[in-house]
Amino acid sequence: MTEQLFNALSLGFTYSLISLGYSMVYGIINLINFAHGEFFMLGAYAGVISLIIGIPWYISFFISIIVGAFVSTFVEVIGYRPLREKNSGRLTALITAISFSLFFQNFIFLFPGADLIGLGNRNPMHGAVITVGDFKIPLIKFFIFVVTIFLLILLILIVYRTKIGKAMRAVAFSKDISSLMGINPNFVISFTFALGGGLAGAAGFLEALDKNQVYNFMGVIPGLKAFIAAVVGGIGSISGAVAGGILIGFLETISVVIGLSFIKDVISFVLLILILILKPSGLFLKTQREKV
Amino acid sequence: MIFFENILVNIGIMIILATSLNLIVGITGILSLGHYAFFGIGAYSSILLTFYLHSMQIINYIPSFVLFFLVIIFGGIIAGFFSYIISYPVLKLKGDYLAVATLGFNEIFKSLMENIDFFGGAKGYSLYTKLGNTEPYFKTNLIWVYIFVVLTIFIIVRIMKSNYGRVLLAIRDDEIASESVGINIAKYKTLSFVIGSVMAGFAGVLFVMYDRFYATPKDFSFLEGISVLLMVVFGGLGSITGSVIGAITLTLILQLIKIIPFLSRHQILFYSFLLILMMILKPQGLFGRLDTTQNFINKIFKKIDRKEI
Repeated sequence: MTEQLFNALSLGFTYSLISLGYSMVYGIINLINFAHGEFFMLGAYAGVISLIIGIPWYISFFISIIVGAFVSTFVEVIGYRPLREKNSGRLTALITAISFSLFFQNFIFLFPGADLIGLGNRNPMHGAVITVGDFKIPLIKFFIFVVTIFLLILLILIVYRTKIGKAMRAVAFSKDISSLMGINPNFVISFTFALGGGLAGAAGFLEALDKNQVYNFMGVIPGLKAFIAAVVGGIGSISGAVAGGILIGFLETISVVIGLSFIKDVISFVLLILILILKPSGLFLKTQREKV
Repeated sequence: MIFFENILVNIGIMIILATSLNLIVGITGILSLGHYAFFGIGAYSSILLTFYLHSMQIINYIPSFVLFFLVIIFGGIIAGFFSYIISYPVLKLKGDYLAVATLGFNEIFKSLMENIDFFGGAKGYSLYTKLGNTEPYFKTNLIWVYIFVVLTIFIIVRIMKSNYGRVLLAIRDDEIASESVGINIAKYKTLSFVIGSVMAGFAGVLFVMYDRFYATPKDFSFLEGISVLLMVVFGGLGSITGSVIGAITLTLILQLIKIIPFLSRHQILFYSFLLILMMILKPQGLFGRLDTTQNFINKIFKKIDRKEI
């Protein structure tokens, strides 16, 4: 039971880390960044490859974060910014996002044998277990727990206690007015992408350590579910994204425990449709404001 | 010769899929990413119906072209039925949420087909093995495919010209404004969604009854469907001519890259790269909203209308 609880929590926290990026990006430019799941995947690849080369795990972790942030910013600058400046509508931006996602997934195939990399005994936490009283918790689940809380605190400090965080909130409120106040919206948007991509990269590293392998489609389903988590929690709010992620983690673990594992992937889509019909602003968002 | 016929049939099916998706995405403005699910529903239902027709021995009494009509209409009706059911929850959503929900529907379809033994599971449903290695009594040919291509283009162009089509364009351009003029948005969106899906169902029947006679869940995944979206975007959202030309060029390009070994292994990579380039350089597509097919067909009709008067 305790094991399942930790399973659900670690799964939920992984989703939360990804969904934060979705939520922040959507909050600032109203775009579902479908390629976000791929930043997660590329972060995981970067971490695993550096672990296999022999770089210690704490440095590999930073490499994951940096790769996630870098790719995210790259996509923003190359893909989304020109579209924003041309004012070409949501449809084209969404299609660009999907094509970036497909591009990164299939990019891995260019390197033969890279579509599935196992970590084996290079994994620093493979098989390690913490015993607390009668309970045995895998070390990696505990690690996910601690790291996610640390990253969340860091994120909240950045968003609410720094100047750039203030600028992010201002741009999310109104891009035009904040540019009148001397904020460079493009820089702030790129920074938001970097922040979200970094969190996704971190989540990818944690997932790779947990599953002990990486593969090129690993970002698709977690990416979609994290988006659903962001919508369920109320898109644009940090605590909502975390709560939505944990909710989906619990729902999935429960569906596996009661023996309905084939609905695992379907249940979150059903949840999405239900939430959008019943409470479109999300479960945890207090104020409802419509941007026109 | 058979090689060229295959390519022509492929092009025809892609034209049906692209123009019907254009009706949904480009003309009505519903960003549906689940179009391939209806394609798959048409394919699966036609295969199942054919199998039961065979096993009931009805086939000996009825001429084959009647049976063909029966199967293709059945495929269209089943696809339309499911799209009507899906449209109820999905069309309540807007923009990006709708896209994700339709994508989810496509994934749900795929995972149901993979998990239910009645539909053959992940291996797929094959008529050949079910019928004991005998070929079905009827199959699609080039002429049938192109009859349906012409029919699809004709119907969509006439829809665009009609009162109903202008309502759809109004909904695409501004939902709130058209609602305030008194248009029942939900009704028109559902109609357009169902018509497009029925056409995708026809395409599915034509696709699977040509020379395959089997369907696997993998054939109808979202990833396969991205090529149709690419055709629509390539030609220009909202332009029927664009969709037709997009379908022709991209199917030919696809055939071409199948010959080159490096590109054939990385088809989707190539596709997505093309799509990104297209979006960044020319977001409105090859033709934008320009439409020569529509003008051409409507010109013919104008002449006929005048004669009647």
